[in-house]
Amino acid sequence: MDPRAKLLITIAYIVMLFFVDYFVVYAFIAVLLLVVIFLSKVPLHKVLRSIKAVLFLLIFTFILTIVFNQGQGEEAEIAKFGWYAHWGIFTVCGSGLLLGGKLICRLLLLVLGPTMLTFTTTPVALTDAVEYLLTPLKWVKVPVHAFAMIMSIALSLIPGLMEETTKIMNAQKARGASFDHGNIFKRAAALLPVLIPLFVSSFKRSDDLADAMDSRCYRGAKGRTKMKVLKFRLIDYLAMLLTVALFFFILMLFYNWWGFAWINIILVA
Amino acid sequence: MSIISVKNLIYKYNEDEEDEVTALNGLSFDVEEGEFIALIGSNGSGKSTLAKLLNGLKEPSSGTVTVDGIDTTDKPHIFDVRKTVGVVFQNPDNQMVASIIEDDIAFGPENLGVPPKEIDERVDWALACVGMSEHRKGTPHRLSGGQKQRIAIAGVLAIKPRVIVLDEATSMLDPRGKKEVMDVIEGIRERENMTVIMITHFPDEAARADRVIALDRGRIVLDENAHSALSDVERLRAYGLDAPLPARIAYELRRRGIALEGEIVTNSELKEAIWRLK
Repeated sequence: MDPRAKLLITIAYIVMLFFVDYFVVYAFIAVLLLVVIFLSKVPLHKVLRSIKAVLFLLIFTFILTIVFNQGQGEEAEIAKFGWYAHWGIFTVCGSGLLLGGKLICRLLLLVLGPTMLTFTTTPVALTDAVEYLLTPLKWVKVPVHAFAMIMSIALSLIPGLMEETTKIMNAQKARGASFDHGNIFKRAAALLPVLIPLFVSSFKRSDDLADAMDSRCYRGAKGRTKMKVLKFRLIDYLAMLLTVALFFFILMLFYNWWGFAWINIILVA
Repeated sequence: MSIISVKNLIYKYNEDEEDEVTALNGLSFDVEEGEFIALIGSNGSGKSTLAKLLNGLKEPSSGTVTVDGIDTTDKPHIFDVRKTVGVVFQNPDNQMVASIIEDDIAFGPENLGVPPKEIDERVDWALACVGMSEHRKGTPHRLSGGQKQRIAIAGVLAIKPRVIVLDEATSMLDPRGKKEVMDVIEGIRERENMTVIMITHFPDEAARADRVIALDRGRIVLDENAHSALSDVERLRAYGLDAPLPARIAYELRRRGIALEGEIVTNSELKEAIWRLK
């Protein structure tokens, strides 16, 4: 698929998630996402691993929403769920649980969607897509090409810089520096002898890179062609059309256009 | 006409300031198409500065560098100069523009405005030249130093230069990486008849060239056929340079009164000379 289509769909997907208010719809989106994962042939466990990074955030938000949500109409709550606990400023109630559950669904789907984008798209394709989609900004003299170039270079330099950081840290450790003792301020201060050489070496690195780019005839966007020409194909149009349809459906539920909220009642029941 | 012609080239760092340093002091030489030149010199002799002058990354303080008839200070034609002379630098990590190998190699031809289909062919060709075709879709970060440098060479080859300058391109590599890169360079030279200028401080690498230019403190002290230049151990030492190991062995043997015949630079020549001893 075209990276531009993928990027647009991902953006729409993220916005869409904020308009969803029902578990059934979350489940529906999750099923769609599963289909996407299946079609992309990315191993499921690899995708799920991305959750690990946000696991703490998930649990934290879940507990906070449960604990601080007061619920509306206590009797109603008790009547409906038959369970209500109150302890100082903390309240655990049904509506809090519901809200927490929804938040978790939302966050999970928010993480998993864009993960699929990065799994199936190379950084270069992605920057190309960004460059194309930001083209309108060129009319107001924003250096879009430069931005895209910076993005692509930054992405390609990250592994190198990480390597450099470990190297410098090891060098400082060999000279008796310690990075895992003392309180947080001491630790931060201990990082200073790492950051300074890192800065110096990144400047040297960018100097070298500039020379290398110059000698490979780089002259900005002028007269530049692309090896991989971006091309929208039928599947891209179809996918975008589907996304628009889904978005429309969700907005319809959310704002109750034409009294379509009756669908909710069926869905909730 | 020579492909590169250097005349009375002087280059000063921090020109007209207190800490002015003359890196190159009056160099003149011509490079003919198809030559394989080794540029040797000790640290601070101005080798790397010269590399950057050859494709207009730096401009001479005085004198001229002419590439295929174009002066490197001729701004409107600077890309013709850089299209003709490609430079591979020392550190392979600092030359990667993209995080996917094929995208990195396509960078040069993309800049030149080559049509997409031809870029694709050039990437294929360049990767085949350096023997890395199977890594096309991979990322450079997992490769060894020698492999990374081969990718960097492919990136320059894709521009289809007529001269390739290697600025100590093997100095950060382990012996295996060095050999890989040297073999690739010889392969390119043989098959594509490319002009190669190799800047190095390894005498054994210089021995593979046809012609040796030695720099000492910004001046050319030696410019002759590689064989005779590298076999003269004493003269090289006077300029702070080392001769290849076989030449040094022959030199020490001769000093101890063993009369080896001929100029000795390579292992096989040393072997021959020893066999011929009576």
